[in-house]
Amino acid sequence: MPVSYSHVDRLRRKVQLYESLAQMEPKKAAAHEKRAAAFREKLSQAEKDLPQTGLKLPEGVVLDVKDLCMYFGGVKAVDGLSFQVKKGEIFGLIGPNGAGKTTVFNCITQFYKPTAGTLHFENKSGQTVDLNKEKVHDVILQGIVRTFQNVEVIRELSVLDNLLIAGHRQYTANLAEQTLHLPILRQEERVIRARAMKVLEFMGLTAYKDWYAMGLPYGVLKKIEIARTLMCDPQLIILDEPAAGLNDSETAELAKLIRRIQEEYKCTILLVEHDMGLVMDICDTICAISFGKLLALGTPDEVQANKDVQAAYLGDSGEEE
Amino acid sequence: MKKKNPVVDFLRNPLSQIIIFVVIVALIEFLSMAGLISSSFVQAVGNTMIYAIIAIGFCLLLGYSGLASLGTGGFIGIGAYVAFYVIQEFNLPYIVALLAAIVASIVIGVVVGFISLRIEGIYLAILTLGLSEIIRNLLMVIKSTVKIDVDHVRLFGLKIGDQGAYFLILFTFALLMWLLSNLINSPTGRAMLAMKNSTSAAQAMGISLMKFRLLAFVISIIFAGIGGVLYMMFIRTITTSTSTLLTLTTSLNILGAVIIGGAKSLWGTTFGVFIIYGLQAMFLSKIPFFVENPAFIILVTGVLIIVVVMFFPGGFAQIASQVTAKIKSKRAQGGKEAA
Repeated sequence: MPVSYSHVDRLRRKVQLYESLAQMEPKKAAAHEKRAAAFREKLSQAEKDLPQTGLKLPEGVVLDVKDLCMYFGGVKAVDGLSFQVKKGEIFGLIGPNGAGKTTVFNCITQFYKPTAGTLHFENKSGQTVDLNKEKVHDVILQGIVRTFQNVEVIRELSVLDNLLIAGHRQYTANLAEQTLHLPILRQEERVIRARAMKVLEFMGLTAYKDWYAMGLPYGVLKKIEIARTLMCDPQLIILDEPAAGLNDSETAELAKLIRRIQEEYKCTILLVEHDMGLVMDICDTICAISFGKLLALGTPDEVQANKDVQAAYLGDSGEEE
Repeated sequence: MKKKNPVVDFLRNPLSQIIIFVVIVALIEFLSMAGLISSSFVQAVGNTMIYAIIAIGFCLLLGYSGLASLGTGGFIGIGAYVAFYVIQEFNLPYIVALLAAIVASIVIGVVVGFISLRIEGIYLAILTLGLSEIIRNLLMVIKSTVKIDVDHVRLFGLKIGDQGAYFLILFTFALLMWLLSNLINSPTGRAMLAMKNSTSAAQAMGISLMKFRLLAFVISIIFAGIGGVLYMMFIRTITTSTSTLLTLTTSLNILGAVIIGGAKSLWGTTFGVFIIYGLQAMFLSKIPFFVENPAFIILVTGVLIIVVVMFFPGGFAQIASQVTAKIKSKRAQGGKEAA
């Protein structure tokens, strides 16, 4: 019987829940372990029953963007862009202002439906999916999570609650279980809170956990955004200008942080950034675009040496003479 | 270092808060039975409690989901008319009327929600206002006066009079308050707040805007519908053509109560309802000018809203939390000096 991907994700959450509970409550570990095993079995069965997408990415590639076009009326924000992101790398997307970098991100996360082109992604179940078929709020289930250029932190909630928002899709309790505060919800709440505390500690935000996000300094808000992405066991983290508005020492700290995230969480990171120092420092591969078209793709050194990239950033030297 | 204080813990527990409140309001009825309070006062309190039920439902819509509706009056009307037909015409018990009203509210909420929740802000308010007027006029055409005989008001086969209905309102309020405060303190409540603050962040975190907007909208309509049913149990009659119950006045009063009380606080909202309706019943109805020109009563509500929004955007709940914070910091200082 074919099953939906959200069903698989739900089972995965259940496994995670009981595994965590088994660790947190040593007294009842056996019972939790038993449940986890039952769900694990169901999960492996369900993953087999997932309908085949018939798509396949080359070995080691996690995201394949092909001939991506996004037109707004006559404006061609992204025009026939293609690139591949390899598993586990830090991939930088650079370009002058208005080059269409954020639009690419919005297309990947389905905030915009691309005019043309394909976006293939290898999800948590190891299946290749067509992102264009996903709803914007379901992209996160596949393992893609993003931050925003202008920090979009929920200001009316505490820092800890902001992280719980990011964990929203990890709750499996239904509406009735939530309105009655049944034990399943309390268990999930405990497990997800503990996970959030771990992320806060990793990010060095523990001291702020009960503060309302409203009124916190900009650097902290940026960190909260990154912390949120870590709540969802992401495959691919998309950072939209993580260093914007940060001073030099904060940027250096950010570079270290992004590296640590890559190592600790074993995920791929895709970032847009204007700070060339940061990009050249941490990225494994860089893609330079201008007016929605690809300029150069390669290692930082290759891209730096590229004539077109220099022209796009510094102006065409040939015209002056 | 936190000292455990059993009294404070008891007061902080949502369930005990509800119990304390219900006991106090129930006392009013007992005092009236003993002849210490006039029955018209009890009726005013019971009436206000019905509005409080409607208002806490609205709280979820406005304070948590950030959607404004001006259709509350019409939705109350649906509950009231369903109750009339089920109880008076078909002579069925209260529970059936309640269930029928909930089903009707869900149907209308889902249909209207699907059409209207794609738009936000003021447009949703305008749309629901128009809808509410359509509903009111339809109901007026169907039957201009609905009246339930006191003999028909039954619960589990028992006839309940005014007193029974009063306690029924209290019980319903307590139950819904508990359910709603649970819901607010769960992932759903957080998801709604996220949606209100930043639609794009909410979507990126996997929150479906349509789902949670619809949920908040339908819940607020259900609460209004239940309010309508209880109104028919307690007051037992509505003359739709002259009563302001199903008009914009009620919608605005509820909106005002939620804003004055604090849109994110259920208790603040309850307090706000008592301010608005208490003010009308206790104070304004004694002044001849307002008795002759009832339309001016809404003016007082309007002034109150302006004052609160200007100085305390969080409503009375904000004032209360500021006061307790002050007391706490004073105490902490006092403790340090003593040490």
